[in-house]
Order: sequence, then C-alpha cells, then structure tokens
Amino acid sequence: MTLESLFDALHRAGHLPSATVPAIDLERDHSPWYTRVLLGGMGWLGGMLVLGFLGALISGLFDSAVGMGVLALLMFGASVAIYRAAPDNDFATQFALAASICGQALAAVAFGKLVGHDVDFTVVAWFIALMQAALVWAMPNFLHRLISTIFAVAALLFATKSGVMNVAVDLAMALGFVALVHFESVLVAGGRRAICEPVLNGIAIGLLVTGIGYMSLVGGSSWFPHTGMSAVAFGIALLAWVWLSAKQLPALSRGAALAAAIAFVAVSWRAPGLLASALVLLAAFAAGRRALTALALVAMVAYLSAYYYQMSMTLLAKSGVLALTGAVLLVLWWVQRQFFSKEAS
Amino acid sequence: MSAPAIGREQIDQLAESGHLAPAARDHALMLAGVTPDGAQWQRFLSRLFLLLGVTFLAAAIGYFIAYNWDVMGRFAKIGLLEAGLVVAAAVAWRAEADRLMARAALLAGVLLTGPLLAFVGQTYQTGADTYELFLGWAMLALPWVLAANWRPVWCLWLLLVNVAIALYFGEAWRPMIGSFFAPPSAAVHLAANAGFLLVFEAWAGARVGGSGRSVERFALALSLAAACFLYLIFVFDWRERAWWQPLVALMTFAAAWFAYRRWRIDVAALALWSFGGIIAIVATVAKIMSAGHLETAAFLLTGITTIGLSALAAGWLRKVHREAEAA
Repeated sequence: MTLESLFDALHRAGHLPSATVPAIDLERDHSPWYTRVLLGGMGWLGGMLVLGFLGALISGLFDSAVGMGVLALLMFGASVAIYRAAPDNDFATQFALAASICGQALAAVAFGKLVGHDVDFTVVAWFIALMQAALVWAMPNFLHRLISTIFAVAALLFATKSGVMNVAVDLAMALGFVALVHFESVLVAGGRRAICEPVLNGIAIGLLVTGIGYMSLVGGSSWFPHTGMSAVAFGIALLAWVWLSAKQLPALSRGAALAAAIAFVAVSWRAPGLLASALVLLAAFAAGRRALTALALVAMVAYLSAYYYQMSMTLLAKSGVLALTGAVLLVLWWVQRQFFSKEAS
Repeated sequence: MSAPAIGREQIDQLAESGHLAPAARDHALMLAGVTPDGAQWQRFLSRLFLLLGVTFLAAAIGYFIAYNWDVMGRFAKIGLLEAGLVVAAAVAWRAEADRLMARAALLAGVLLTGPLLAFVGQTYQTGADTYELFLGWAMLALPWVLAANWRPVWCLWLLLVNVAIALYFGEAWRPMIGSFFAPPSAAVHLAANAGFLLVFEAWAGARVGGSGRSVERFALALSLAAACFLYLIFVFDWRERAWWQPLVALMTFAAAWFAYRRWRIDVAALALWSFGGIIAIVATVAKIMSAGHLETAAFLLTGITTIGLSALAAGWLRKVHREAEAA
C-alpha cells in the first residue's frame, strides 16, 4: 500500500477529513531487529572491556566508592551528550552505549561499596532497578532504552525474589505491558513513541524470561517462591488483554474468547511462564510484531522443554498437566473451527 | 519507479507528526497489513491451538513413559505409543486436503518416535547410549519429516541431529560437557550443518512449505558457531591447535559471505556472519595483545575493536537491507 492509497482509504473510512497527502519526508532507513541485537550485544561487551581497561589503568579504582561514582556520572553525561550530538552516527552511538554500560557497572559497584558488605544484595538490586528506570528516561536512544528496561525488570525481579512483593511486580509488569499495548496508538500520537516502543519490547522480553524463574530446576527449589500466585497475576493480565481486545467483537465471539482464555488460565495455573509467554504471544501477534511473536513461541517451547527437568512435580503429574492442557487446546481448536471460522471470513 | 510501500515505521511517523489520530493509526496499520485482520486471526488461532495441543499431548506421552509407572504394563505402554503413531499416520493420510491437520499429525509422529525408542531401550535394556537414542530418533523420524515437508519440522529434525552429535562427543568420546567445544565435535557439527544447508539451499528450500527462511538460518547459525569455535580453539588452546582449524573456519566464513551477499542476499544471515566475524577478530586482537603482555592495552583495544566493528557491521547491514528492499 502506498501513502496515497493509505490516505485515500483512511479518508473513505472517515478517519481523515480529506485524502490529501501531507508534505512530510518519511524516514525509511529502519534497522532490522537483528541489527539491533548485534549492536546491543556488542555494545554490552564493549562496555565491559572498557570497564576492564579502566580497572587495570587506574590503580585502586574499585576500592573507592566516590571515585567510581564520579566516573559513572561522567560516563552517563558523556553518553547523553553523544546521543544528543550524533543520534544517527553508528560509531558514536555505539561508543555512547558502551560508555553507559561501563558507567552502570561502576555505579552498581560504587553503591554496593557505599552501603557496605553486610547489606543484602537486594538493596543493590533496588538501586540498579531505579538507576535503569532513570536511564530509560534520560538516554535518548531506542537500543539503550530497550536494554535498560530489560535490566530494570531483571533487577526488580531479583530485588523482590524472596517475598510476596514478587507477585506484585509480576502483576504490575504484566498489566503495564497490557496497558502499553492497548494504549500504544494514543502514546505514539502523543509523541511518546521514543519511550513507549523500547519499554514495551523490554517488558515483553522480561515476561518471556521470567517463566524460567518459577521452575525448581537445580537444587530442587524455584527462584521465585509464589508459583501459584504469580500464575494468577499473569492470568489476570491475560484475561484483561483478551477483554480489552475483544471489545469490538460480536457478543458470542467475545464470550467465546473470554471462555477460552479462562479455560487456558485454569489448566496452566502451575505454569506461570506458560501464561506470561501466551500473553506476549497473543499481544505481539495482535500488534503485528513478528519478531516478538516468534520469540514468544520459542520461549513457550523452551518452557515446555525446561518443564521436564522441574523437580517439584513427578513426571506423572507433569504428564497429566500437559495432557490436560493439550486436550483443552484441541477442544478450543475444534470449537473455533466449527463455530467461528465463518464469522471472520 | 513505483511509490514505496508504507509500513509500521512510516505510519508511526505520520501519527507522531500529528497527521493520524490514534484510531486512524490503528486502522492504517491494518490497511497496510501490519496488524492482522479477522481472517488472519482465525488462521493464527487455528494453527496455535492445533499445533500446541498436539505438541503438549505428545510431550505428555513422552513424560508418562519416562516416569516408568509400574501400574501400567509394558505391553500397555508400547501399545499407547504405537497407537499414537498409528493415529498420527492415519490422520495425516486422511487429512491430505487439510494441510495443517496433516502437518500437525506428522509433527506428532516425529515427537512420538523418540519416546518409543526410549521405551524400547528402557524395557529391553539394549545398552544403547543416549546419543544412539537421538540418532535413531532422527533417522526414524526422517520419513515423517519428508512427508510433512514443513520448515518447523525440519528445524526440529536438525536439532535432533545436533543433539545426537553433541551427545556422541560428550559421552562416548570424552565424558565432559566441554567436549562439545572440542575440535573433532566442532568439525562434525560444521560438516553436518553445512552439508545440510547446502542441500537445503540448492534443492529443498524452494520445495519445503512454510514462510520465511528459518531452516536455512538455523543451519547457518550452527555452521558459523562451529566454525567460530574451531577458530577460537586454534587461537586459545595450544594443546589442540592444528593448521586446518583456521583454514576451515575461514573457508566457511568466505563461503557464507559469497552465498548470502553475492548469490542470494539474506541480511539476517549476514548479521550472523558479522556476529561470528567480530568475535573471531576481537579474540585475535586479545590473543596478540596478551601474548605481548599488554593486558591493560588489550582491554582498551578489544573494547574499541568491538565497538568499531559492530558499528561498521550495522551500517553495512542497513546498506544491504536497503539494496534488498529496492531489488
């Protein structure tokens, strides 16, 4: 579809007062997602190597909290300045990312040193989460905001891992994702795309990775303690997304969509990772984000494979859960095929 | 020259600049084919429910067999597995017109072959190693894979082959997980994946169903990873160093560049190529610097090399992406 035909169609649908195409120079030099992955991974590695250089160069750097803090602030300042001065230069933005990654590591170690060795590491994790949130706001770059969001989610989950707060974080994260997806158009039209898009993708990746934390793999106990309650949290978010997305559908389809979601949530209550990845999968497909959809599918299959090694259930119990879930999915397939396939066409 | 097509990026720019209201953006994304319409949703849900349902049920049978429940006799268990395979074959046969259902049944056939072999080995104490289970699984699943003629099932098959190779070198050759990264195993992984990729690109790729180039990219990622490991072994491990390792690695990278830059442009494949290439160059710089006892400078130089090369690669990949889109 061309710009002209798009404006014509939108005008005919009543979304625009006229079909006249505005005089706007549209940017077409868009980076594919795998280029961003390459830049992100290498930016992180570059940052760590620069940190190693500073540590080796400045004798006693890691002994002085103040020194590390000052250096971290200088790194952050340099990153912001580079991002603002040369936002489209690959070399410059890659240096800015590496400098910021180096600054983040320095700031975290400085904070840990400042609060002392006897303090639980969760305090440092809270600091990292807050620092990353601030960086999401301050750094005017998609890739940096995406990486900071992922780090913030990871730090937040670590900070709350042993308490019931973990469930609140799960719920906030999943509902936040649903809200961002649902109000994405409002945010984009309001000029908030630069923050909304990386945060949305970062939280989605966080949700996909979270599932593994609920598995009792090595050692017999899971990282996150409240499997059932977290499953309820992700289930609520999934139902909220289905409810919001099905609002425009006929009553029968809306009811069927909700019933299907409730059935899936009911059989998956022991598998929060499955619910979190199902939420991302459906929301990503609805938003036309193909890479995220594929990632959610891979996460779902990976979760299924890791489920085999979970220590808290016998293989017989796992087999029962999987058989029940599979049967529910096949019933949903049959119902959808029999009663709803004509409605859409 | 025809007008360029509109995608999400351009629609978002229009919305950001105030030319499209939120509802107009939603509608524009659907008109441009970015977000799915009703029919696409139906297709997606149908595939999702059926394929996940079949996968979960097949996994349930596998887990059940692995539990070795003594309440159920061995004939009942083998009957359950064989009944599953017979049903899968019958459904695939009967549902020839319904391609999705046939493929789901064939996927179930591939998944159930493994538990059947495991059960036979467990019951009759065949003394087979784990790698033999996976190798047998891959061999016996091949007819199902050929019949399915579908990219996701080919990816699964390639994974089985690689697991069999890794287990062989991990169990039979050296009882350590680290053996996966040893020269013989890396060379076998490289030969198997590169050979598969060659056949798939030259003969099968266009005939296999399913959109995208997932199989080719998966095989390429495994081939380049193996080539990269060979090179890294040559650089860092003097005990297992041999002249053929960098030669094979360089030839692999050169062939991949020629294939996906000159013969058939594939930007994702070139991104994998760039990733492996940067790792190899940075490792070389680190080795040279540390051999000269310049550790402090090594950190700086490898850091700058990583940053510089990745920026260079990103610019190059964007250029190739533009070329591919214009073609």
